[in-house]
Amino acid sequence: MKTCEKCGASLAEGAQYCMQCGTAVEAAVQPSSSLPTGIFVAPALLSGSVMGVLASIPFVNCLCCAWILGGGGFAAWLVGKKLPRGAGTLTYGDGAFAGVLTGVWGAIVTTAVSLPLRFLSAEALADMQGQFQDALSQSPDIPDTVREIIMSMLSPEVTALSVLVGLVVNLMLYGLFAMIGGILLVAVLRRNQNS
Amino acid sequence: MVGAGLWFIAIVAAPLFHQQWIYTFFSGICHQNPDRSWFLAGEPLAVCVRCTSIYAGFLIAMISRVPPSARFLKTAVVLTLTEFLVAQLGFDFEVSRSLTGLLLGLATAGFVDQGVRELVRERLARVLAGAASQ
Repeated sequence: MKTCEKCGASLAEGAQYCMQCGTAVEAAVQPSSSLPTGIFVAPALLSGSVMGVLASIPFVNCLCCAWILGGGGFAAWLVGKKLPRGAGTLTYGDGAFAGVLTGVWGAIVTTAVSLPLRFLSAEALADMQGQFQDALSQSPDIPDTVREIIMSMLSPEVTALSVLVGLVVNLMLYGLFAMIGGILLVAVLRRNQNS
Repeated sequence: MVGAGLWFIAIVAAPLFHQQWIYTFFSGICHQNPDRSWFLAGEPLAVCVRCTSIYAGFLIAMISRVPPSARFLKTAVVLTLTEFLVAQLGFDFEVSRSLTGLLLGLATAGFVDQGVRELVRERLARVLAGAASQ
């Protein structure tokens, strides 16, 4: 196996850079994954379900995109655990694929779970919107954009169009961020090896 | 690189052109608390200081082709987590949030770039090849 000229870390076939010290590797050969698509499905469904529920519960979802990144990373970790002996390690492409599948399923779960929560909390949201409206009217120095953000976040209205738009946006964002989570998990867990 | 550039332009364009839909788009991945955001033309950017710094670092790394390094990534993750935990104890500073975010963005870009390339080559190419053979 090739090693890095600078730090001595092992380099897998296809390495473009040493992932330990960042030194460029000459004559790069592109790596490829031989994992079947089926091995990704169960981890993505499990991780996407957990991520989708956690990311849609008010107050629990206060960690911004952390649940989505974590969901993608968790799915990649589960896929790594399922690898048979001698099958090598996950490539960054494998981590990305596990993340994308998780993100897509997580977006569907989040949208589905958010709907009943939105209906159940409609009255409370309307009350809060009224209270914030009063408070904002007494603070003329707050920019209009900030007012609109607060009001839209507290809006109890649910329409078919808003659900559809929400699903499309969630699919894009969850797919992207869960993919990044999967890639970073592979990067962090690798030991002295490049892909 | 184009995607990272468009992403960052959208964050800056939201307050400049008063685009509410951009704020709504980013609301799913950022708390958008005005007290923890930078302002432009009197209005907050579409994401908070930490997120803006991460995306700025990511864009800089993509443009300058910062090579991926696991040590750099692990250091950036540990620094960001430490800063987050220390902030919960009351030692919360805008400069520390922005610096750790910038480092995390710089450390992440190379891996994401490689991961996306591999994803397209390994999976998309396999799907296209399968479709072509049918």
